[in-house]
Amino acid sequence: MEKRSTSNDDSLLNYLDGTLDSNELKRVELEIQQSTDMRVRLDELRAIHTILQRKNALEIPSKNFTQRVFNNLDSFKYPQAISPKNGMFLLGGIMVAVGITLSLISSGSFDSVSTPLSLNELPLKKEWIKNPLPTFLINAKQVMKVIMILATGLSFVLLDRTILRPLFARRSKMQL
Amino acid sequence: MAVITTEEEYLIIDQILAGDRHGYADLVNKYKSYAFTIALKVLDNKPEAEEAAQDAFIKAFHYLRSFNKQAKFSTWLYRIVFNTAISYKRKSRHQFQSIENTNIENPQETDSLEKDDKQMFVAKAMNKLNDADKLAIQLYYIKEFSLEEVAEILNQNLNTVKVRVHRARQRLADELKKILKEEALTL
Repeated sequence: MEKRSTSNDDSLLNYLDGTLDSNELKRVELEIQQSTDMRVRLDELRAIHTILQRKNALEIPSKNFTQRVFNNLDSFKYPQAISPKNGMFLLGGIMVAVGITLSLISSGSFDSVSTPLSLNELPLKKEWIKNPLPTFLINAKQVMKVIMILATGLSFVLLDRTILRPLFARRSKMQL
Repeated sequence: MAVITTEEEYLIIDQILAGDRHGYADLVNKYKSYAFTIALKVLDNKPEAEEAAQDAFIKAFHYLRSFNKQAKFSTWLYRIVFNTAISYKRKSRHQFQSIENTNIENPQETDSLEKDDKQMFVAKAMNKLNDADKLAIQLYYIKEFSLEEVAEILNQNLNTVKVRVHRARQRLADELKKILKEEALTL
Protein backbone atom coordinates (compact mmCIF):
# COMPACT_ATOMS: atom_id res chain seq x y z
CA MET A 1 0.00 0.00 0.00
CA GLU A 2 2.79 2.36 1.04
CA LYS A 3 4.77 1.40 -2.09
CA ARG A 4 1.80 2.10 -4.32
CA SER A 5 1.23 5.46 -2.65
CA THR A 6 4.90 6.44 -3.15
CA SER A 7 4.76 5.47 -6.82
CA ASN A 8 1.54 7.49 -7.21
CA ASP A 9 3.24 10.42 -5.52
CA ASP A 10 6.18 10.13 -7.91
CA SER A 11 3.83 10.17 -10.90
CA LEU A 12 1.95 13.16 -9.51
CA LEU A 13 5.16 15.06 -8.75
CA ASN A 14 6.49 14.34 -12.26
CA TYR A 15 3.11 15.54 -13.55
CA LEU A 16 3.46 18.82 -11.59
CA ASP A 17 7.07 19.23 -12.77
CA GLY A 18 6.00 18.65 -16.38
CA THR A 19 8.56 15.88 -16.89
CA LEU A 20 6.19 13.15 -18.13
CA ASP A 21 6.28 12.04 -21.75
CA SER A 22 3.01 12.09 -23.71
CA ASN A 23 2.07 8.43 -22.99
CA GLU A 24 2.75 8.74 -19.26
CA LEU A 25 0.92 12.06 -19.18
CA LYS A 26 -2.21 10.47 -20.68
CA ARG A 27 -2.01 7.57 -18.22
CA VAL A 28 -1.59 9.84 -15.18
CA GLU A 29 -4.37 12.19 -16.31
CA LEU A 30 -6.68 9.21 -16.70
CA GLU A 31 -5.76 7.94 -13.21
CA ILE A 32 -6.41 11.40 -11.76
CA GLN A 33 -9.84 11.49 -13.45
CA GLN A 34 -10.76 8.05 -12.16
CA SER A 35 -9.41 8.22 -8.59
CA THR A 36 -10.64 10.61 -5.90
CA ASP A 37 -7.60 9.74 -3.72
CA MET A 38 -5.29 10.75 -6.56
CA ARG A 39 -7.13 14.05 -6.99
CA VAL A 40 -6.92 14.81 -3.27
CA ARG A 41 -3.22 13.94 -3.20
CA LEU A 42 -2.60 16.03 -6.32
CA ASP A 43 -4.20 19.01 -4.59
CA GLU A 44 -1.99 18.51 -1.53
CA LEU A 45 1.18 18.23 -3.59
CA ARG A 46 0.13 21.15 -5.80
CA ALA A 47 -0.37 23.32 -2.71
CA ILE A 48 3.21 22.57 -1.62
CA HIS A 49 4.50 23.07 -5.17
CA THR A 50 2.85 26.51 -5.41
CA ILE A 51 4.03 27.64 -1.96
CA LEU A 52 7.60 26.53 -2.68
CA GLN A 53 7.58 28.32 -6.03
CA ARG A 54 6.45 31.53 -4.32
CA LYS A 55 8.72 31.08 -1.33
CA ASN A 56 11.91 30.43 -3.29
CA ALA A 57 11.93 33.42 -5.60
CA LEU A 58 15.27 35.02 -6.41
CA GLU A 59 16.68 37.25 -3.68
CA ILE A 60 18.21 40.57 -4.63
CA PRO A 61 21.62 41.44 -3.14
CA SER A 62 22.68 44.96 -2.15
CA LYS A 63 23.12 47.64 -4.84
CA ASN A 64 26.89 47.89 -4.37
CA PHE A 65 27.42 44.12 -4.65
CA THR A 66 29.40 44.27 -7.91
CA GLN A 67 31.47 47.23 -6.70
CA ARG A 68 32.39 45.34 -3.54
CA VAL A 69 33.46 42.31 -5.55
CA PHE A 70 35.73 44.53 -7.66
CA ASN A 71 37.12 46.34 -4.60
CA ASN A 72 38.22 43.02 -3.12
CA LEU A 73 39.39 41.25 -6.29
CA ASP A 74 43.05 41.85 -5.49
CA SER A 75 42.83 40.94 -1.83
CA PHE A 76 42.31 37.28 -2.68
CA LYS A 77 44.84 34.86 -1.24
CA TYR A 78 45.17 31.35 -2.56
CA PRO A 79 44.56 28.83 0.21
CA GLN A 80 47.58 27.31 1.90
CA ALA A 81 48.64 23.83 0.86
CA ILE A 82 49.06 22.93 4.54
CA SER A 83 46.55 24.17 7.10
CA PRO A 84 47.86 25.53 10.47
CA LYS A 85 46.47 22.45 12.20
CA ASN A 86 48.24 20.03 9.84
CA GLY A 87 51.34 22.23 10.03
CA MET A 88 51.37 21.82 13.80
CA PHE A 89 51.04 18.04 13.49
CA LEU A 90 53.87 17.93 10.94
CA LEU A 91 56.04 20.17 13.09
CA GLY A 92 55.36 17.99 16.14
CA GLY A 93 56.30 14.89 14.13
CA ILE A 94 59.56 16.45 12.96
CA MET A 95 60.42 17.57 16.49
CA VAL A 96 59.79 14.08 17.90
CA ALA A 97 61.94 12.50 15.14
CA VAL A 98 64.72 15.05 15.76
CA GLY A 99 64.53 14.40 19.52
CA ILE A 100 64.78 10.62 19.11
CA THR A 101 67.66 10.92 16.64
CA LEU A 102 69.54 13.36 18.89
CA SER A 103 69.21 11.03 21.86
CA LEU A 104 70.50 8.15 19.70
CA ILE A 105 73.44 10.31 18.55
CA SER A 106 74.28 11.37 22.11
CA SER A 107 74.11 7.76 23.32
CA GLY A 108 76.69 6.86 20.69
CA SER A 109 74.49 4.55 18.63
CA PHE A 110 75.94 5.85 15.37
CA ASP A 111 79.59 6.13 16.50
CA SER A 112 80.71 2.77 15.18
CA VAL A 113 78.59 2.83 12.03
CA SER A 114 80.63 3.93 9.04
CA THR A 115 81.23 2.83 5.49
CA PRO A 116 83.99 3.64 2.98
CA LEU A 117 82.89 5.22 -0.28
CA SER A 118 85.41 4.62 -3.03
CA LEU A 119 84.96 6.88 -6.03
CA ASN A 120 86.89 4.32 -8.12
CA GLU A 121 83.89 1.99 -7.87
CA LEU A 122 81.63 4.49 -9.59
CA PRO A 123 80.59 3.42 -13.12
CA LEU A 124 82.78 5.92 -14.95
CA LYS A 125 84.61 5.36 -18.21
CA LYS A 126 88.26 4.38 -17.66
CA GLU A 127 89.57 6.85 -20.28
CA TRP A 128 88.20 9.77 -18.21
CA ILE A 129 90.20 8.81 -15.11
CA LYS A 130 93.94 9.39 -15.21
CA ASN A 131 94.77 9.05 -11.49
CA PRO A 132 93.10 6.82 -8.88
CA LEU A 133 90.16 8.62 -7.18
CA PRO A 134 90.10 9.11 -3.39
CA THR A 135 88.12 6.99 -0.94
CA PHE A 136 85.96 8.69 1.72
CA LEU A 137 84.85 7.28 5.02
CA ILE A 138 81.19 8.03 5.57
CA ASN A 139 80.24 8.19 9.21
CA ALA A 140 76.58 7.62 10.10
CA LYS A 141 76.85 10.13 12.96
CA GLN A 142 77.86 12.91 10.57
CA VAL A 143 75.12 11.97 8.12
CA MET A 144 72.54 12.06 10.91
CA LYS A 145 73.85 15.47 12.05
CA VAL A 146 73.38 16.87 8.53
CA ILE A 147 69.85 15.41 8.42
CA MET A 148 69.14 16.98 11.82
CA ILE A 149 70.28 20.41 10.62
CA LEU A 150 68.09 20.10 7.51
CA ALA A 151 65.10 18.92 9.59
CA THR A 152 65.53 21.81 12.02
CA GLY A 153 65.68 24.28 9.12
CA LEU A 154 62.56 22.71 7.60
CA SER A 155 60.71 22.94 10.91
CA PHE A 156 61.49 26.68 11.14
CA VAL A 157 60.15 27.23 7.61
CA LEU A 158 57.06 25.18 8.48
CA LEU A 159 56.52 27.14 11.69
CA ASP A 160 56.78 30.41 9.79
CA ARG A 161 54.64 29.53 6.75
CA THR A 162 51.87 27.44 8.25
CA ILE A 163 51.47 28.77 11.78
CA LEU A 164 53.01 32.18 12.47
CA ARG A 165 52.20 34.02 9.21
CA PRO A 166 48.51 32.96 9.12
CA LEU A 167 48.22 33.81 12.83
CA PHE A 168 49.62 37.35 12.41
CA ALA A 169 47.66 37.87 9.20
CA ARG A 170 44.43 36.97 11.04
CA ARG A 171 45.32 39.28 13.95
CA SER A 172 46.07 42.23 11.70
CA LYS A 173 42.80 41.57 9.78
CA MET A 174 40.87 41.60 13.06
CA GLN A 175 42.46 44.90 14.11
CA LEU A 176 41.44 46.61 10.84
CA MET B 1 20.66 45.28 -18.87
CA ALA B 2 21.16 43.29 -22.07
CA VAL B 3 21.10 39.51 -21.79
CA ILE B 4 24.53 37.91 -22.23
CA THR B 5 24.61 34.74 -24.31
CA THR B 6 26.80 31.74 -23.54
CA GLU B 7 29.11 32.65 -26.44
CA GLU B 8 29.46 36.18 -25.08
CA GLU B 9 30.24 34.73 -21.67
CA TYR B 10 33.08 32.67 -23.14
CA LEU B 11 34.34 35.78 -24.96
CA ILE B 12 34.30 37.74 -21.69
CA ILE B 13 36.15 34.89 -19.95
CA ASP B 14 38.80 34.91 -22.70
CA GLN B 15 39.18 38.69 -22.31
CA ILE B 16 39.56 38.34 -18.53
CA LEU B 17 42.17 35.62 -18.97
CA ALA B 18 43.99 37.96 -21.40
CA GLY B 19 44.13 40.60 -18.65
CA ASP B 20 41.02 42.73 -19.24
CA ARG B 21 39.00 42.34 -16.06
CA HIS B 22 36.25 44.91 -16.81
CA GLY B 23 34.00 42.36 -18.49
CA TYR B 24 33.74 40.46 -15.23
CA ALA B 25 31.25 43.07 -14.01
CA ASP B 26 28.78 41.80 -16.64
CA LEU B 27 29.13 38.25 -15.33
CA VAL B 28 28.75 39.41 -11.72
CA ASN B 29 25.65 41.43 -12.61
CA LYS B 30 24.13 38.52 -14.49
CA TYR B 31 24.61 35.94 -11.74
CA LYS B 32 24.68 37.91 -8.49
CA SER B 33 21.03 37.27 -7.60
CA TYR B 34 21.36 33.52 -8.14
CA ALA B 35 24.64 33.41 -6.21
CA PHE B 36 23.17 35.43 -3.35
CA THR B 37 20.03 33.26 -3.25
CA ILE B 38 22.03 30.01 -3.12
CA ALA B 39 24.23 31.39 -0.33
CA LEU B 40 21.13 32.57 1.52
CA LYS B 41 19.53 29.11 1.31
CA VAL B 42 22.63 27.62 2.92
CA LEU B 43 23.31 30.33 5.50
CA ASP B 44 19.84 31.72 6.34
CA ASN B 45 21.49 35.04 7.09
CA LYS B 46 21.48 37.93 4.60
CA PRO B 47 24.72 39.79 5.52
CA GLU B 48 26.64 36.55 5.69
CA ALA B 49 25.11 35.27 2.45
CA GLU B 50 26.10 38.50 0.70
CA GLU B 51 29.67 38.19 1.96
CA ALA B 52 29.86 34.52 0.93
CA ALA B 53 28.47 35.28 -2.53
CA GLN B 54 30.99 38.11 -3.04
CA ASP B 55 33.77 35.85 -1.83
CA ALA B 56 32.65 33.18 -4.29
CA PHE B 57 32.79 35.66 -7.20
CA ILE B 58 36.31 36.67 -6.15
CA LYS B 59 37.37 33.01 -5.97
CA ALA B 60 35.77 32.29 -9.35
CA PHE B 61 37.69 35.22 -10.87
CA HIS B 62 41.01 33.89 -9.63
CA TYR B 63 40.29 30.29 -10.61
CA LEU B 64 38.81 31.23 -14.00
CA ARG B 65 41.74 29.58 -15.76
CA SER B 66 40.59 26.22 -14.39
CA PHE B 67 37.07 26.66 -15.82
CA ASN B 68 36.39 24.03 -18.46
CA LYS B 69 34.36 25.51 -21.30
CA GLN B 70 32.64 22.19 -21.89
CA ALA B 71 30.55 22.97 -18.80
CA LYS B 72 28.17 25.86 -18.17
CA PHE B 73 29.82 28.83 -16.47
CA SER B 74 26.74 29.32 -14.29
CA THR B 75 26.83 25.78 -12.88
CA TRP B 76 30.58 26.04 -12.25
CA LEU B 77 30.04 29.35 -10.46
CA TYR B 78 27.08 28.10 -8.40
CA ARG B 79 29.14 25.19 -7.18
CA ILE B 80 31.82 27.62 -5.95
CA VAL B 81 29.08 29.68 -4.28
CA PHE B 82 27.62 26.59 -2.63
CA ASN B 83 31.02 25.37 -1.37
CA THR B 84 31.94 28.86 -0.12
CA ALA B 85 28.62 29.15 1.72
CA ILE B 86 29.10 25.70 3.27
CA SER B 87 32.58 26.69 4.52
CA TYR B 88 31.11 29.95 5.92
CA LYS B 89 28.46 27.91 7.70
CA ARG B 90 31.12 25.63 9.21
CA LYS B 91 33.24 28.57 10.34
CA SER B 92 30.45 30.74 11.61
CA ARG B 93 29.53 30.78 15.26
CA HIS B 94 26.52 32.82 14.41
CA GLN B 95 23.15 31.55 15.57
CA PHE B 96 21.31 31.23 12.29
CA GLN B 97 17.80 32.52 11.98
CA SER B 98 15.26 29.86 11.28
CA ILE B 99 13.04 30.18 8.20
CA GLU B 100 10.16 30.68 10.57
CA ASN B 101 11.77 33.82 12.01
CA THR B 102 12.53 35.15 8.54
CA ASN B 103 8.88 34.95 7.64
CA ILE B 104 7.82 36.72 10.81
CA GLU B 105 10.29 39.52 10.14
CA ASN B 106 8.94 40.08 6.62
CA PRO B 107 5.18 40.11 6.97
CA GLN B 108 4.89 42.61 4.10
CA GLU B 109 5.95 39.89 1.67
CA THR B 110 2.68 38.09 2.15
CA ASP B 111 -0.49 39.68 0.93
CA SER B 112 -3.16 37.75 2.77
CA LEU B 113 -3.66 36.04 6.12
CA GLU B 114 -4.39 32.72 4.43
CA LYS B 115 -1.18 32.84 2.40
CA ASP B 116 0.80 33.87 5.49
CA ASP B 117 -0.62 30.95 7.48
CA LYS B 118 0.16 28.45 4.75
CA GLN B 119 3.71 29.77 4.45
CA MET B 120 4.12 29.51 8.20
CA PHE B 121 2.88 25.92 8.17
CA VAL B 122 5.28 25.07 5.36
CA ALA B 123 8.13 26.73 7.24
CA LYS B 124 7.24 24.61 10.28
CA ALA B 125 7.12 21.47 8.15
CA MET B 126 10.35 22.46 6.38
CA ASN B 127 12.19 22.53 9.70
CA LYS B 128 11.34 18.85 10.16
CA LEU B 129 13.22 17.88 6.98
CA ASN B 130 16.87 16.88 7.14
CA ASP B 131 19.37 19.51 5.94
CA ALA B 132 20.24 17.73 2.68
CA ASP B 133 16.60 17.31 1.60
CA LYS B 134 15.79 20.88 2.64
CA LEU B 135 18.67 22.32 0.63
CA ALA B 136 17.90 20.18 -2.42
CA ILE B 137 14.28 21.30 -2.50
CA GLN B 138 15.14 24.95 -1.90
CA LEU B 139 17.67 24.96 -4.73
CA TYR B 140 15.27 23.13 -7.03
CA TYR B 141 12.64 25.80 -6.53
CA ILE B 142 14.99 28.69 -7.22
CA LYS B 143 13.87 29.99 -10.60
CA GLU B 144 15.13 28.06 -13.62
CA PHE B 145 17.17 25.45 -11.74
CA SER B 146 16.80 21.97 -13.18
CA LEU B 147 17.38 18.76 -11.25
CA GLU B 148 20.60 18.29 -13.25
CA GLU B 149 21.87 21.70 -12.17
CA VAL B 150 20.95 21.08 -8.53
CA ALA B 151 22.79 17.74 -8.70
CA GLU B 152 25.89 19.44 -10.12
CA ILE B 153 25.81 22.26 -7.57
CA LEU B 154 25.46 19.81 -4.68
CA ASN B 155 27.96 17.42 -6.30
CA GLN B 156 25.48 14.58 -5.95
CA ASN B 157 24.07 11.93 -8.23
CA LEU B 158 21.04 13.04 -10.29
CA ASN B 159 18.88 10.19 -8.98
CA THR B 160 19.82 10.99 -5.39
CA VAL B 161 18.75 14.60 -5.88
CA LYS B 162 15.52 13.52 -7.59
CA VAL B 163 14.71 11.23 -4.67
CA ARG B 164 15.52 14.02 -2.20
CA VAL B 165 13.30 16.55 -3.99
CA HIS B 166 10.40 14.09 -4.34
CA ARG B 167 10.74 12.82 -0.76
CA ALA B 168 10.93 16.34 0.64
CA ARG B 169 7.74 17.39 -1.15
CA GLN B 170 5.92 14.25 -0.03
CA ARG B 171 6.96 14.91 3.56
CA LEU B 172 5.99 18.57 3.33
CA ALA B 173 2.56 17.63 1.98
CA ASP B 174 2.11 15.05 4.75
CA GLU B 175 3.34 17.45 7.42
CA LEU B 176 1.13 20.25 6.13
CA LYS B 177 -1.88 17.92 6.21
CA LYS B 178 -1.00 16.85 9.76
CA ILE B 179 -0.44 20.40 10.99
CA LEU B 180 -3.67 21.65 9.42
CA LYS B 181 -5.57 18.73 10.98
CA GLU B 182 -4.10 19.52 14.43
CA GLU B 183 -4.94 23.21 13.99
CA ALA B 184 -8.53 22.30 13.04
CA LEU B 185 -8.87 20.09 16.14
CA THR B 186 -7.67 22.86 18.48
CA LEU B 187 -10.22 25.35 17.10
